Amino acid sequence: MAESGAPLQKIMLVEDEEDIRAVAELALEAVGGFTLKACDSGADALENIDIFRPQLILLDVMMPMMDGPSTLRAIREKPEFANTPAVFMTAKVQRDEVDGYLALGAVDVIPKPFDPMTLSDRIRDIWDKLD
Amino acid sequence: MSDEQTADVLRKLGVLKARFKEKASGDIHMVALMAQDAAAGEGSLDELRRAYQVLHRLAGSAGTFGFRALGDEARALELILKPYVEAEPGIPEHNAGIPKSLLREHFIGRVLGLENLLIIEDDGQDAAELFKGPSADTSDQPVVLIIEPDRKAAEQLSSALTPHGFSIHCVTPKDLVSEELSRVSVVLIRDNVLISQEQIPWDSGDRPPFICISSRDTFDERYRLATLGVDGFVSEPVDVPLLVDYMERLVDEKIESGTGRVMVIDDDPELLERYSLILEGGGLEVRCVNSPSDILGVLSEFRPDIILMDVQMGHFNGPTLARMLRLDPEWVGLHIIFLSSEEDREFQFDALSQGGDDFLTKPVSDRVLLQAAKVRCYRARQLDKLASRDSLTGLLKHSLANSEVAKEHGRSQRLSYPSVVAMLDLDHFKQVNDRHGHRVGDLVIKGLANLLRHRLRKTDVIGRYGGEEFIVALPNCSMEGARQSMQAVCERMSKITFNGAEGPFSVTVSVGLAPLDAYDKAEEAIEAADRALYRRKSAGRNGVTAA
Repeated sequence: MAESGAPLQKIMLVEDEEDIRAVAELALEAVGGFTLKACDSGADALENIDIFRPQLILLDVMMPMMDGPSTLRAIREKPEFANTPAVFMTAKVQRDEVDGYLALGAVDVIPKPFDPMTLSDRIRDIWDKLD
Repeated sequence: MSDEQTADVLRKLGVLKARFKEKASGDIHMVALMAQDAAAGEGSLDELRRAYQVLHRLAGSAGTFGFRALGDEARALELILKPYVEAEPGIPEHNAGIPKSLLREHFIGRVLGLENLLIIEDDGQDAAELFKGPSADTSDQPVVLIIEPDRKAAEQLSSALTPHGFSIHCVTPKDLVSEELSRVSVVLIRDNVLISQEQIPWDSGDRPPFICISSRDTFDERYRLATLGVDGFVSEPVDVPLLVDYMERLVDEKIESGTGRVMVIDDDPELLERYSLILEGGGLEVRCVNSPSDILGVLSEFRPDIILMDVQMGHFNGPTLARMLRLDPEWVGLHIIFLSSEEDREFQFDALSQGGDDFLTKPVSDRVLLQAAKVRCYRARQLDKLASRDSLTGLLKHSLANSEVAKEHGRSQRLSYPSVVAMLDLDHFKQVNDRHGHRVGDLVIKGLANLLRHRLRKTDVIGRYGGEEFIVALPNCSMEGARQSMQAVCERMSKITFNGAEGPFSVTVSVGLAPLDAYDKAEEAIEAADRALYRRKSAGRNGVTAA
């Protein structure tokens, strides 16, 4: 369990696509009971992260301007979030791509499309497996 | 989450789905325009990159809204563009390669086909059905490929077939080449396409059955289509339940004709190895027996469809071995074929009279051996089916269904997991027979049987209990899971349109459920499900009631 056994509550989602943000909000707030801050770009995430202080960050990989990996690198430069668990969400990926994301410091990769009814369980599983 | 909260989430998902659909349609048109420019050599790399991003977005999001096939196809198209988008800009050879590559992959046609998938996959399901319940796994559904140039006709046919539990894909004749035929169960093809298209893979050995939909039902037309090698023919207007029945039969034959279990008995190890290579290479399961004294043990364990046996093996004589096997009532019906170089007809008759069924004269060519074994396996299985399966629906007969349910009852108690038994009954079925005749009534019964087969898991037990009554056992399934999957069956059934003497009609079904593992005996659970069924009948039919 991450952060000295605290249950997961606050999740930040960085996703440029409006529809997916809306479904993820339903999936994580209504279904999962988490508190979610949905950001529409890497810049938006960097602007809000100090105030929201997420326990876990969910990132889309392919976004215009600043993509998921660049966003994560920028977040990691803030000492306070240098170790915050990050999970990438991306359309069916090849094994070597996944390894690349994990090398960037992500704890897991969730393939898209995801099932809104089980997304929360998936994230809770990831959280529970963290040391 | 409470039921109310779940319902709220599902309602909101439905709204998002509708919004996605509208937006996706615009995106698809945009990609098609860009692809047209690129194929004409007029597009910029920027444009191509935008098309790539849109396809990537569709690939990642469509499945979340229930458009799985659309998402998969968008992903395939995205991968076609990937090398060009990721290449260093300004390399002229690369840009010059784009138009050719797009043409080769039928790119534009496939992009436009996405719009089709958007319509086809949205078959009026509510959001709850988008996300599969525990026993409504649709991945086992047979895939039907419709090749119909008229998009509207394709959509109509597709929406009429979907409720029967098929997964439908529509393609244009041009795209057929790239379509993976090995995953397809049946191809429905329009007659006029068969005149103009040369690229239809008639020769590929493992292709699915092709059924031609024709507007001209004449001798000449039928003969022409037979020459081209089609497996089935339906004339317009298409009677959908009849077509479904036809498709089921062809698919069944195709599956059955390719499989079988063969036991080969010969004292020559080299011959055994050769036979086994040929037969296994042809997709049959083979067990070799070198020493005749091992026959009985292997027989009861392997349970072959047929036996291939040498006539003379050391001091053992084939016909006598056959006679010995027939002493056991269990093997009286087993098909035994002798392999022998003996050409004397008298000798052959004598061998057959002792208990063999057939003769293959050695040396036998690989092809003849395989074909002979396949045909006989197929016949043996058909005969076995006659004994255990209901002839109309192909489902288990009453007594066998009962014993399968009892077995499942034992398993679920032993391994302590929940299982459910369901009794189903077609509503007002007598009226269907009275009004539309027994032929139409039979189609309704087959309709429900096919729906159950497609919608339920392979591990579920499905039997015809008698008349219009069916029994289902769902292993390792909760009452709630069973309720959801049976409710889905009820809803699908009510959407199927049958053509009767007095015009089109539909039939509903009532279901009673009971937890199989909660009763001491399987019969008690069946009775409880039956009582629940009758409560459903008096509560207004068309739906599910739990004991």
